[in-house]
Amino acid sequence: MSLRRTLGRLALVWVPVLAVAALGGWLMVPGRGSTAAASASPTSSTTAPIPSTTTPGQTTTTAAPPTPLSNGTANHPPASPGVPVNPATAAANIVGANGVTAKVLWQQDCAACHGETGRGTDRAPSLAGVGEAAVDFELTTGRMPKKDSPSKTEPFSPILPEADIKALDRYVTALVAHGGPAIPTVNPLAGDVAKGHELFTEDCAACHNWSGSGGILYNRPVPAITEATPTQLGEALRIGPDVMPKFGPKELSSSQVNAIDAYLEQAKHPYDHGGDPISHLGPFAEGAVVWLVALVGVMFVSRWIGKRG
Amino acid sequence: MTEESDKQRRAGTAVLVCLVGAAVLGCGMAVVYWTTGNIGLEGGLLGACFLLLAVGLVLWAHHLLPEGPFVEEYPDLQSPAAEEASVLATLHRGGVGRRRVLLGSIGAVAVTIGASLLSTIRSFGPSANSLAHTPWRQKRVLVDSDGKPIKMGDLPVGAALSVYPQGFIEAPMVACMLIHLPPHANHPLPGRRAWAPGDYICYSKVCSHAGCPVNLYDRVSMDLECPCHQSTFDVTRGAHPVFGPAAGSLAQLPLSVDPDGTLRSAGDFSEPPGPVFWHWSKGVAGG
Amino acid sequence: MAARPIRKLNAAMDERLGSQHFLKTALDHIFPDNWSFMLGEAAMYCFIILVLTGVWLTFFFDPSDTTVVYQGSYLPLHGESMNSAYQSVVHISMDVRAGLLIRQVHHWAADLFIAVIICHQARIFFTGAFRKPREINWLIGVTLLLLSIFNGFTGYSLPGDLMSGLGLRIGYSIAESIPLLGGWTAYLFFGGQFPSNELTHRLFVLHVFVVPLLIMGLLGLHLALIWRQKHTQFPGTGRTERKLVGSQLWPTYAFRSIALMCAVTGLLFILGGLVQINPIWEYGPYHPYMASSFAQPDWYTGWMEGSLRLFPPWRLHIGGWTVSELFWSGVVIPGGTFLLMYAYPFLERWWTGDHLSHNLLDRPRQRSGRTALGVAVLTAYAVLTVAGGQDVFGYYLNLQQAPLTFGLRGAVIGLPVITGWIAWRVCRDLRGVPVAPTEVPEGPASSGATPSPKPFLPDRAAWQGPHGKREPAVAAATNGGRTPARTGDALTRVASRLGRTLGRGG
Repeated sequence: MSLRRTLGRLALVWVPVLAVAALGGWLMVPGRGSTAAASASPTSSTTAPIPSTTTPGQTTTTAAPPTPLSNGTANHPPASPGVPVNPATAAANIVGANGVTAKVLWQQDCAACHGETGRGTDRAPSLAGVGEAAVDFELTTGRMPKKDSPSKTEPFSPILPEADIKALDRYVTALVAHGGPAIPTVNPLAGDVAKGHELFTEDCAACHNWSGSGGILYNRPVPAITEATPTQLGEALRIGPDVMPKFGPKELSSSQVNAIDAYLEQAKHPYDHGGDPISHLGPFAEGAVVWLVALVGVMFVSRWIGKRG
Repeated sequence: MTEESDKQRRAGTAVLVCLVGAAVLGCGMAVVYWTTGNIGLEGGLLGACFLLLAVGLVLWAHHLLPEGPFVEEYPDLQSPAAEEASVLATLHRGGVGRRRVLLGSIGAVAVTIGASLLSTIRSFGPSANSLAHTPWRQKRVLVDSDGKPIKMGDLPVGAALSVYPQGFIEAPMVACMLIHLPPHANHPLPGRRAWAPGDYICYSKVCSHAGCPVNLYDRVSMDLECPCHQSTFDVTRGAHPVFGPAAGSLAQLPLSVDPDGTLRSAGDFSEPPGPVFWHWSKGVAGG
Repeated sequence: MAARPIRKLNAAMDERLGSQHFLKTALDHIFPDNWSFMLGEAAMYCFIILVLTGVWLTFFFDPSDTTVVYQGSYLPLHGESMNSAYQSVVHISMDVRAGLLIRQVHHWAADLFIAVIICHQARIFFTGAFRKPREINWLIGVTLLLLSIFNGFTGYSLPGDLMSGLGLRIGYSIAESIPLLGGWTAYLFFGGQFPSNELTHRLFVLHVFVVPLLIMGLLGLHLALIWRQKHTQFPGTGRTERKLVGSQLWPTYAFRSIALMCAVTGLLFILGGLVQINPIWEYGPYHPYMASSFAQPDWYTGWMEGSLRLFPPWRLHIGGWTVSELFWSGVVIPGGTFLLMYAYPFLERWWTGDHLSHNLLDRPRQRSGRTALGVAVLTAYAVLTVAGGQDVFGYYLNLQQAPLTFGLRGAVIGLPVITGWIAWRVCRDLRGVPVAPTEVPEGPASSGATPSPKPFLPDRAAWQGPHGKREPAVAAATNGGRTPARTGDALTRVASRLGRTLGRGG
């Protein structure tokens, strides 16, 4: 038997082995295990454990920050008697994670590009009036502080520690960003999933996909939003990060935002009742399975049943 | 040939094992169905049952059944000329083929019947035939999908919202994108200067290419994009297509403002919304 | 011998029908053994599974566009308005025991059905099995492909979910784009402006009754013609234009065929149970103002979707009339595809002047021109299919849409030329590899008489290339002797190995 023939025979074995291995690989994907767990009542069970970066105190507007944190400023001498306290001065000494004050954080991480006053330089835009929601969104999603890499839209993990972010939120808002949207309170548990689905497919899914897994504009990718926290989602709707349109409070009420987030929380843990979801890539992935698994299987069986020549 | 029969006996055993296995798996499927109803187990067990049955049958065919080569003649498809001639003669029996006028009349009757039956497909269509007019014509208030009217000032600059004519949210071809442009961004087409009061501008959400909802809005480049085929329209210049397979602009909806700030259409779309068709410029479905 | 009940039944039937002669001939009927001839059968078994699972689903499906508010057991959709059809599909998927299994098997079977048909058709094409006397079966086969794709589309559109709604909307626009009749066609077919309230019911009648009946009838005809004309075979020992070599229908071939049916069923049930397909409860119901990124059709209409995406925006205004850009990409390209498929056997016969009947198949390498053409066309449609998922590929490969679109436009023209050329080179280089003894074709006029010794490839049939350059018949012999070019050499080895693996190596 010639070498060529032997290799041919081997190839016959390899193709199905690879196909079976590929199928096995899918079945091993960790997400598969969750299908059974999500069964009983998808709404309540999946939306329960949501990490929230929002505390009730943070939701007040930036005009007056009389939260316990800012009490620390009382120990410092006021600028001059008879003159109202500058809120920026008050917020400057809020202490972040490593005992560093907000003002120092600002100077370390932000001022180089946005300018000492935050009014922008040729390297970065002005932050005047962008609102606390924008500051918090940029920091908590890790878009800021930007080191040297080009703008990144994923993942949603912050670069700075949470305490630093809270301090900077307050300081930057008081310094320059006041006047824009405040950090919204988002509570997906109070939202109606079905209503949220309608709103999401009407306003969001064209870019972010029905599952929130992202998409593509003709000139740039659209990030997946399945990792976003409810607060980030609410902030993004209000401020319209990057090229995303803004949604004002009269356009989408806070209960509608709750509904959208309730849907998204549900979409994060889809009820994949039918087996392996093939990464939720839709019909083309299903087509790939047909060609690479089912059709190869049919060919293999036919080859075994029939003869050559 | 004891070796041969040994081989056959072994094959027989293998076939038996496969068939018994298949039967067990089939029973397993029934048990799962009546107990948990887990479709993964059901499909897996039934699938494995069939595969094992297939293996058994192939082993049976390969080892226990006669394998040729058997030979068979291909049929002679073309008949002898004499037979052909006799068939043709039979067709002319009774002089059927000579009565040209009668045959022609039968053809004419058939055509008539066909045409009259075909005309009943008209029943499949609706009674009205306008693709051009939408409820927007009656100067309706713009509402969101919950039916809430939209007022000037509801949308921040850079916002985009799907809007519908009040009372006709689910009607065909009415969905629009209302966009609040930054000041001075709009370059209106001639005659459309008054169509975008307060930089609120409104275009049909039905793509001029294949009719998908155009609702990707890029607030920096101020483009609307279609998620189906990536056609991209420049909102500031009459939604003129700048990329993708669409050849025409999105239809624009003229807006007006009520004294209390409520937005309202000032008339129907600038052109029939959605994909174009043969009588598009006339705005009707058929001649 | 046979068991008593069988004997009694056979005797009873024979007394009434005189069936013994027919049965004996039928059971002795010979089928060739080549494995690639099983693909068509696999398609038939997919169809049988489609019918059985489809009937099962029909009992639960409600083909109605009535708007309802969902109150069923799947909580995330509670309170959402949807059409009744969608509600019933969610019910099948969530509440009917084994309902989702049957639904998924049905959908996988549909996807596999068309994939297998295309492979079957490719086998027919590359081996020249469509030649006289089997052109009628080619025409029937192309019609079956067309009907299968159409029925796939209607089936995809029935559940009323987000994806199916978008697909229907595009289908409506394509119907609308037909010159002169487009508006009326769309109006009559879809029952008015999109979306009308009659749509689901019409699609349902087509999907479960009209088209399956047509497929069944044509499939029967397809098989009857194979029975009458007998199957083609590759040239080989003892095989001639007059003598078919293979296995008898009973028992060997029947066992093999039933085994194939079981294997196809098994594969589909495993996929249906373990791999999720079209989870409509996750997509949600469709409303005309809704959209999603990465909206795709099922894979077999991907090439049409790709053609819609890649075609340049050409809109014509003729007098007061308009020809939509969609007409070219949505009507002319798919229509032309099927017209050319229908016409191919006749075009090739006109080109080669080969009017003889053939029972022996070509090796693809012997027909370099045809093989190159087939490879090029398949490449073009593969590129179009990729273009149908252009946004998904762009997203995961981190490519921008504009360069991707222009690149794919180039690829759909350029890549077929390259792959076609490679196929042509490989065929020419392989021609030196010995094959089984060639056989003499017979014209109908000489049937029954002593065959005249014509060369296997008649001079005019030695179609060498896509440019109509015809080399003398001796070229084949001299070509075998010369040393192939280096690239050709490597390709030759790969192709020859593949050819041997797939059983084409003789």
